[in-house]
This record gives sequence, structure tokens and C-alpha cells, in this order.
Amino acid sequence: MSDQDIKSKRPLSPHLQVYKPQMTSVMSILHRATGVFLSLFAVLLLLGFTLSVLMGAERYEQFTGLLGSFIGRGILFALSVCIFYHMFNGIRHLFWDSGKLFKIENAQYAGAFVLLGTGAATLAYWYCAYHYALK
Amino acid sequence: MPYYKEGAELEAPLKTVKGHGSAKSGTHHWMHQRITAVASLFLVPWALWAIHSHILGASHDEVVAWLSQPLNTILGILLVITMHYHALLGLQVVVEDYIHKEWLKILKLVGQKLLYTASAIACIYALIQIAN
Repeated sequence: MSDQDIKSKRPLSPHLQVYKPQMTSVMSILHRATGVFLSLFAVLLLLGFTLSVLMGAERYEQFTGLLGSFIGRGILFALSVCIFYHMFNGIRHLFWDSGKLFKIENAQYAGAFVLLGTGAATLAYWYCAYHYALK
Repeated sequence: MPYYKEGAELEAPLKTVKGHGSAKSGTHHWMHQRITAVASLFLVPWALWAIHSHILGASHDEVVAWLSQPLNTILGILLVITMHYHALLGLQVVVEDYIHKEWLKILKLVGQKLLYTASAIACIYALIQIAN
């Protein structure tokens, strides 16, 4: 048996196809998914913003026009959800790193807190954007 | 008896042993991910606040004037470094976990390192030029 065969015959755990989704596991994979999304779009936003400001008023207006379009706003909305989720869930991870919140119900309470916090922060942020900043 | 012979390497021999299992740079990676995470807990809220109070609805001149203030340039550069480094550390774990073809894995790891380094340098260059 070749090395590759041995590797492919090793059991996978947890077996995702038959594993019941739980709040802890779903939130864990969401942390990764939001992280990957942010590492593409947040970095692109930083790059686009700094370079377009540098290139002058005309380029900057093109850039903000792009962000202000329907698709642009959609991406910004997704970005804001990902930022708040990844930030709040990241704090939850830092608690775990310091040895706290390991009891399953505490992990779940903290998870509920993260989800509620993400929703509340996203709504508050966009409310402020439309009612104060864009006035 | 002396520990090393003349001409021998000063590095611990363990370091040159092949197939050294998990004795690589896991702790270093883990620690840097946490340090950049904690740093971004300050820098990201600052950026979110700045978007609302100084960038949304502001003209190009106003944005340039705000970005040119020394504190904002410095915090902006710190934000760029922290975000790029944290993203790169995270992407590295994702690639190592999900991509098993060795050549593709190495290609992605090296490629994203080059790309993110270039992007960070471009952002920092722009921020410094704007402040000038």
C-alpha cells in the first residue's frame, strides 16, 4: 500500500456528513469564513482607499462612487457583519485562550452574546451612517 | 570535553534534524496571531469611528487633511500592518488545513506572502505620500 493510500484510509473525525451541526461548531467555521472574507475584502478596501486618496480627487470620487453603488453597499454591509462577528467571536476565542468559558453552557452563552452583539452593532453602525455621517 | 568541535555549527543539532514533527514555529505563529488580534481590538474600532466621523460624506481635500495629521498617519500605518499580518497568519492556517497537494500548498503560501507584503507596502507608501 502506498503512502497516499494509507493517508486516504485514515478515519476523519468528526465525520462532517453525519455530524449534527451545533452552535459551537457552526460558529467556529463561521469565524474562519468571515476571516477569509475579511482577508480579501478588508485588505482590498484599505488598498483601494489609500491609493485612490493618493491619486487625487477624481480617482477618489470614482472609488467612493463604486462603494456607494448597490453592489458596493452590499459588499460593505457584508464586510461590516464580518468585522463585528470576527471581532466579537475573536474576543470569545481570547477568553478560551486564557482558560475561561470552557463549560459547554458558558461557551454557548458567550456564543449567543456574539450573535446578538453582531446584529446590534451592525444595525447601530448603519443607522449612524445614514442618520449622522451621510447627512 | 568541549561541547562543540572547531568548525562545528553553534546551532543546536536538534534544529537540523529532519522531520522534526511539530517542533517548528507553532508557538511563534500562535502568539503573533493573538498579539495582532489584541492590537486590532483597538485599531479597528478607531477605523470604524474614523469612517463615520471623518470619511463618509467628506470631500477629497477633507480626507487628505484628516489623514495628514501625524497621529492619523501613524495609526493608519499600524492598522495596515496589523490587518495584513493578521490576515496572512489566518490564511496560512486555512491553506495548511485544507490544501493537501504539496506544490499547490507551497505556491499559495509563498504567493499570498508576496501579495500581502506588496499590498501592505503600497498602503504604507500611499499613507506617507498623502501626509507629505
